[in-house]
Amino acid sequence: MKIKGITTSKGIAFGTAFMLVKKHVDVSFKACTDTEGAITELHVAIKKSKDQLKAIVKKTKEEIGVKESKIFNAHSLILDDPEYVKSIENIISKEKVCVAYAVEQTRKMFEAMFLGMDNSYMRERAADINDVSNRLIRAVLNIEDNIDVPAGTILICEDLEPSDTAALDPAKIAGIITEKGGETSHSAIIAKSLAIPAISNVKIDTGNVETGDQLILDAIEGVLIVNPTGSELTHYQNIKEHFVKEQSIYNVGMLDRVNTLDGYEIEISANIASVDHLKTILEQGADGVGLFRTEFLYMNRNSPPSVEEQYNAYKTALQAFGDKPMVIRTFDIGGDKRIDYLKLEDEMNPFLGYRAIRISLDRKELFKVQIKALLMASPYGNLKIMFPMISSIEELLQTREVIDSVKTEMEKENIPIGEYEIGMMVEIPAVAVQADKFAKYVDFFSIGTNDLLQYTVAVDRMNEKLNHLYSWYHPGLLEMIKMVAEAGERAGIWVGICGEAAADPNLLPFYVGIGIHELSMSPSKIAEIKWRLRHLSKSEQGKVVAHVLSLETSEQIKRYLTTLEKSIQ
Amino acid sequence: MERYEFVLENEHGLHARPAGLMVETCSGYNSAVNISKGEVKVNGKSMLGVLMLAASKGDSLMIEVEGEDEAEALVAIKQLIDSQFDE
Repeated sequence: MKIKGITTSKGIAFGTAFMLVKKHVDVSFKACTDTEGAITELHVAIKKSKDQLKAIVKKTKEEIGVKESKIFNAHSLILDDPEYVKSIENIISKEKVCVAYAVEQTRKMFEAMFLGMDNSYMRERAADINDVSNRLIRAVLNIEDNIDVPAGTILICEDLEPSDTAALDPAKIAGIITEKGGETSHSAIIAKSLAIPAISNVKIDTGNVETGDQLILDAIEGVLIVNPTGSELTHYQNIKEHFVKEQSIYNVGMLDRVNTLDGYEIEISANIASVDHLKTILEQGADGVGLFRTEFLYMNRNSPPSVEEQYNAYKTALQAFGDKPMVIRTFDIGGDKRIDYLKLEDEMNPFLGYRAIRISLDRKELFKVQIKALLMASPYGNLKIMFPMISSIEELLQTREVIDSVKTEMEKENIPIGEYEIGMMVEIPAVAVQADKFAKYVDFFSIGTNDLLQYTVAVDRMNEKLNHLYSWYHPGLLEMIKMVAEAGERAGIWVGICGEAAADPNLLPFYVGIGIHELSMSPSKIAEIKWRLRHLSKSEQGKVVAHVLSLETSEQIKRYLTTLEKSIQ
Repeated sequence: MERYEFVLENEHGLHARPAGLMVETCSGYNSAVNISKGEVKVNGKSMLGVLMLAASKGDSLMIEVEGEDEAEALVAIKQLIDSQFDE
């Protein structure tokens, strides 16, 4: 029997099903006569929960990371909190009720208080209150979720929470199947980082899978096969072998820079949003960083990051990459990225509104802090500063003025400044068609295909009803990308692509053909893209570009490029 | 009872890390400590309470310490505030 799902972590796994069923937790009102006994029971449970958390902190630190372990430290602090404990004790003694009910009432009260705050950082703390309260309730009721599984287990559950994953032994888990959770859910991220195949959105009914069933998890196509036949087993053993081989083929030469068969060099870089895991990104083959999204330094906090804090982050990143290029983009706040402490007004069309460089040039003090931190970090690596959402030459000139004034101030203070390049995103159609004019003022262009596409075809990329119109094979978009590449060529500056389309294997012949110099993408895609580029010749792609641009529809272009891509393998 | 009013100077306000330090310091003394911002008053020994103040840079806060070791407690708390929570 086959059940469909969505792949969240690629691979093929063979194993035995294990249903992780959370036992029902009874938190209903139950009267209690011995309130003193109940309070003692509460304190025993708090102690037990704290011991569990201590072990989880240690395990998480060793197996996943220090940052991930901190969440459990915070949970431990909540169990020490006098207001939290007092509230539970008061409910027990005043209402003469059992412990579980009192904890549940306290959880609800704090959850409501945190959810009611007008600050997203604080609202997210509600999840911590919930996780730790649930742990405490289970300790009170002596509920132990059995997650001690045999080796070769394919885990099946509704969803994995941070505390569940921390309690599992990754060496014994062959695969993970969840009923809920998408590609960015906690369980998907953990599965990917541990390289365990996983699929989600799988409908599990009683009867279709049971603990002990033999399973094949096809996390390439997103299918679960229950109790496979002999021929299915052989079939999937072949696929797995092919997949593993393919991965190892890609790994050959992944650390080297790429030349096409006829010697055209393209840089394949990574998109990053923090200074964590830089070493892993280098190990995945990144020739540099093509997009460091700095807005994430501004999120989940109460005030903007200071000069020192930003300087340290940029310096860390630059040093890790040595002489490899690192494009750091100044904050792109606004649009879908809201930050409470900046008190931005609600807008009818946030993507057409107050965002990115428009905020920077309006709130120059905020912007100058970031520019200063970048210039201070410039001596430590190969820095390229990039500006988002430039729509006019005036903005570009004003931006350069800000840099000059920060530079003058720093020179007065004798702060050393290193070499750096200045570039801009091309993500607004008006810029793409006038790229020649902009090229005079910058050292490089980076085409942001996500926004360029949504502005070119007037389709909100968040609107699911319009998915069919949002295609990066749109001839209008490809024509525009070509114009930007040509303008870069004429001005003698380099041109990169940093949107999602940069990692689409189908488009590589087109990019090579029009003379793109750099592609920046999610680090996991780098090895495969490098491998594919090594099988292309630049001289043969001119006719591909001409043919693509002669076609009339996205569908025709997609079909043509897909067929072409298959013939290369 | 000892009272102390001050303006929060540290860059990131009283969120997770500085709030933790405040709670740790207050919990080291027997005296009761209350922190208030405007009309909201919370227990200085409670992590959830201090977080709930959501105090940011520039906010004016009032500390009240009451108990046998109130003088020592206030000295320690002032030190923490003056060091801008070691940031």
